[in-house]
Amino acid sequence: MARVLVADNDPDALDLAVLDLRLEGHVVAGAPGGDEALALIDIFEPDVVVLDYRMPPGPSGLALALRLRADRPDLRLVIYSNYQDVDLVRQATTAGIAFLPKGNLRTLRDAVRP
Amino acid sequence: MQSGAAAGTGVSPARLAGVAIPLVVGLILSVLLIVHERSDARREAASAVRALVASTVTKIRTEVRNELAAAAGGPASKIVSANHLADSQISPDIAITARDSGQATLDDSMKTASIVLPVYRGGSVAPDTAARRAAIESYRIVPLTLTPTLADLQPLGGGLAVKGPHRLVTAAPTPAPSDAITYQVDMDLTGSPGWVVEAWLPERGIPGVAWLWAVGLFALFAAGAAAFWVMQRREAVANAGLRAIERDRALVTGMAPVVQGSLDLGEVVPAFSAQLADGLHLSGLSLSTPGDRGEKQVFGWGVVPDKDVRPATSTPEGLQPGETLAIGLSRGGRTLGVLRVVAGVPLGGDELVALSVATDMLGSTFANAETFVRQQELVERMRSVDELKTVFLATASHELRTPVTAITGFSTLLIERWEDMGRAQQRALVERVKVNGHRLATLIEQLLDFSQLERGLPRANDQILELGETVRGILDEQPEVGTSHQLVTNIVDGCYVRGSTAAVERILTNLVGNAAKYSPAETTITVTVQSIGERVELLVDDQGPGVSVDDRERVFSRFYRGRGDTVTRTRGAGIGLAIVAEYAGSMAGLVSVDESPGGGARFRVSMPKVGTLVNASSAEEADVTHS
Repeated sequence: MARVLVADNDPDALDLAVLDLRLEGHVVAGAPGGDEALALIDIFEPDVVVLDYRMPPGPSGLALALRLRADRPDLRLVIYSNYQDVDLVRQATTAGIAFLPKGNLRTLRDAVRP
Repeated sequence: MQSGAAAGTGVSPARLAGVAIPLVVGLILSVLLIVHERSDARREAASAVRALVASTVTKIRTEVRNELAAAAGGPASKIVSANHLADSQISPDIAITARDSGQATLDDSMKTASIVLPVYRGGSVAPDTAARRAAIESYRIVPLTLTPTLADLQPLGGGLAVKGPHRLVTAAPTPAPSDAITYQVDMDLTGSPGWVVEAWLPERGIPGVAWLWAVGLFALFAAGAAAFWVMQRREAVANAGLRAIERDRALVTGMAPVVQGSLDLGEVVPAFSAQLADGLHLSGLSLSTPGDRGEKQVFGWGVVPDKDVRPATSTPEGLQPGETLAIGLSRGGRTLGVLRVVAGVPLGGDELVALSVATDMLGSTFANAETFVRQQELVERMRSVDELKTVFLATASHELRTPVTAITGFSTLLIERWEDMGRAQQRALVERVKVNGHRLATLIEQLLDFSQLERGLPRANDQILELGETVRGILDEQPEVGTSHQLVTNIVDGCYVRGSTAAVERILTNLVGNAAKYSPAETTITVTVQSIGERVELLVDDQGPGVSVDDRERVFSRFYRGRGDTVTRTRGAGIGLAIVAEYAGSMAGLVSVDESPGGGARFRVSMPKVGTLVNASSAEEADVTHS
């Protein structure tokens, strides 16, 4: 089981991911935005961070992930978004960050599973 | 450009010579003729005078000789003694000649011409001169009486005279005038040399025929000169006409690149006007296009043309300086504009035809420009539609996916984990599915509205609505609208507007939905229908954060979602308020947003009021108010 931090500005998407991953048996924390997620990281010490791409008004999930990639190389990072831009996906995968389409709970479960 | 007549006034030296030479030649010939005739007349007169002398001199000489011969026997007027000769009037020379010759001698030195006859002592004439000198006793003086003879012989129109060596002796009827033709013949009298007969005739004038000939000759040459002048002038006028036509042709051909050079009327019209004004020496022109409220002048230059002049059906013969001519620009029977020009110089038919042709060319450009503008607008519209689609797809795809993701996610969870969840949790998830389903439905509704907007909204049916009643009906039929909030209505009855229920429904649903989205749950949303002067207002007030002043105009633009925390935390494609604005427009309504008296936002749709119970005047309105 993993410690998972999920950040999404859409309450439905956040609740869904948190609930599903909890039912999978993970320890899950939710954050309604990027800044809140950053604040929780030090306290919660997650193994995996799941970020929505677009979380206005804060920084994008990808910008956040790239920062975390530099600070914490051992942290697993997942972008989970309805945005499916080819360039964004390439940028993320190049940096070793998974870029998953939102809506498919199974791929999210697979990505989070240790 | 000058008119044809004015253009031919230049006189070339060749043309001047062409006229002057025949005139001068004619004059010289006439003068020569007169001079010739005059000398001819003089020659004839001289000849006549000689003939006159010839015919009279013999008779006069005979008369003189007779008088000389008769002097000895006739009565003497006076006898002068030889010793007293010095006291007498007899010229000494004559006296000596008479004494020495012993003959009667003529003397013109006395007051009256006389014959001097020597008288010798002894009564006879001595044979030699010395004896005669010695024998001289006296001299007889006998007056010479030639006058009656001359009077008999005098010619018609002329005269005869006898002159001694010193003076005129006698003349009939008068001595020769200074300008008379004279001829003298010596009378050849022995002992009296120097006595002549002079005949004179008046100078004969130049005969009338000669004058006629001279005048005729000059007239002939003058007529030739005049003919040449007229011919030259005709040719000049014809050439001027050709040059005018050439200029007109140049004007028209020069106009072609101007009107074809651009489809931008802002460039073409000034260039066209400049060329036209220059080519035809216009003093002013204007170009007007037809508008909803009569003609609208789009260009003017120089003297303002008379606006009351209407386009003529045919080109007039000419145009005087200061006069206005209007020419219609039309294509396919449709009037595109009216060109009015004010002539600066007299314009002839040819120039007006050129003007008409040039205007026709401008008409073509107008038509082409109109087509071009329409195509540009179409292209622009297509481009903006394309850009809108790009923005829309980016926004809408995300906005559509979000509720779909939630619905599929929650339902997947329900199916897969049904057994692991309690009833309350199951119910909560089903509720989330429902909410997202509703959200999706709203979004789809907006997309349909959007596609309707893209096609252009049909004008709202000209139905007369009692707005309060319509609003109540909509809210009653859609109980889900604003369920999370306290919905309060504040409706004044009897507010009639022109429009459609469907439009009011889209306006109200979007405004209430928008208020619900941006204000906290359980707060109040107030829907007001009120009458303000000649307008009816539909107000939707909420208790949310309101709309910043900067955003108040832009929130009604498509895809604009405003700024601020609430906006970024909520979802939407940014078309709800654009839909409100468009539907309000279809009802001649104006939308605005400002601050609600209780804080929050107040959205206002203001529509023109139509008939009420009090002032219903049309049958239609009366029907409504009675129904």
